[in-house]
Amino acid sequence: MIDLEKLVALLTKAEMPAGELEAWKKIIPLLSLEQIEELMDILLSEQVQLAGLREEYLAKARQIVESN
Amino acid sequence: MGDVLRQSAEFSDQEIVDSQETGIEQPSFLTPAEQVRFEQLLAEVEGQPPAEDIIEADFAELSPEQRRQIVALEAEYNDQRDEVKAVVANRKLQLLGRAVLRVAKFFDLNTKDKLMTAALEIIPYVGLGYAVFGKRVVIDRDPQTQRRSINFEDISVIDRVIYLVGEVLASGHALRGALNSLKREGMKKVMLKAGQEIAQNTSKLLVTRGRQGLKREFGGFLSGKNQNIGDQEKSQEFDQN
Repeated sequence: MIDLEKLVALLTKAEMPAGELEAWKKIIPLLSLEQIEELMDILLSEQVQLAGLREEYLAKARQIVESN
Repeated sequence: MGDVLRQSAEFSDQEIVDSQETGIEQPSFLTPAEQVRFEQLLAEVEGQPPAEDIIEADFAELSPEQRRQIVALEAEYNDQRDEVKAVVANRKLQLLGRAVLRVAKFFDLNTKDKLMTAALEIIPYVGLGYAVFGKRVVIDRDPQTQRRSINFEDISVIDRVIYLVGEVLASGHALRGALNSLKREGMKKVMLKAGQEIAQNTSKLLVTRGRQGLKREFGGFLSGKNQNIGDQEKSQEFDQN
């Protein structure tokens, strides 16, 4: 059973061009449940990694700005 | 990154063999109700802007050293993001590749030989080309670079005869027909007709192989159904007699 809310949240939060998002919307119904779960894992891991990088970037940028 | 994408889009022959050996899996898909719900949820969130963290600072008010540090930091951040995205793109392509491979397997077109046989069925006069020129097109993979290349492979005299006989049997007097068409209608019309013929042949081939795929994967169910149909036919014959 796929958590559709989570799938949609992952898709809409993912950093991807509009064309790719549109393509996934069409492709997902053709994928097996196992493949959809794998896609969700990929998107989740991407978002976790990108969020970590962004946090690190923001923290360092704040330090630089406040060091004035 | 382009290399990463290209590499991931290519599938090794070993993968094809592995998928054949593992047998046919029976995957499950989203139900129609789940598909409708998926589309509804997508429509609900469409147009909502993503939340953004920002730092309130005027770049112009920063010292030259701070600006240099920020620019360097941004460059490093962008490089790290690109690396993450390249890995993710690779994984997404592998996932799509497996999905495509599964479709190819369903249509029984998942090996080089099957694809070439299908090409013979789809493209008019391709067998004639093989027979006349004594070469056929093959797609090879370089084991070191993993790049695919298109080459012409010599075929034996026996193969040439087989291609020729097959073509003549399948298409009638293929060469004469093709030449007459070219003289009569010109290259453009002939190519248009050939295109239509390829499209028709492709759809016929896919329908046939799709049926075979259904039979293979849902054989028990279909044979049961066919048996019922057969029983009905038999009983109708019996009634008529």
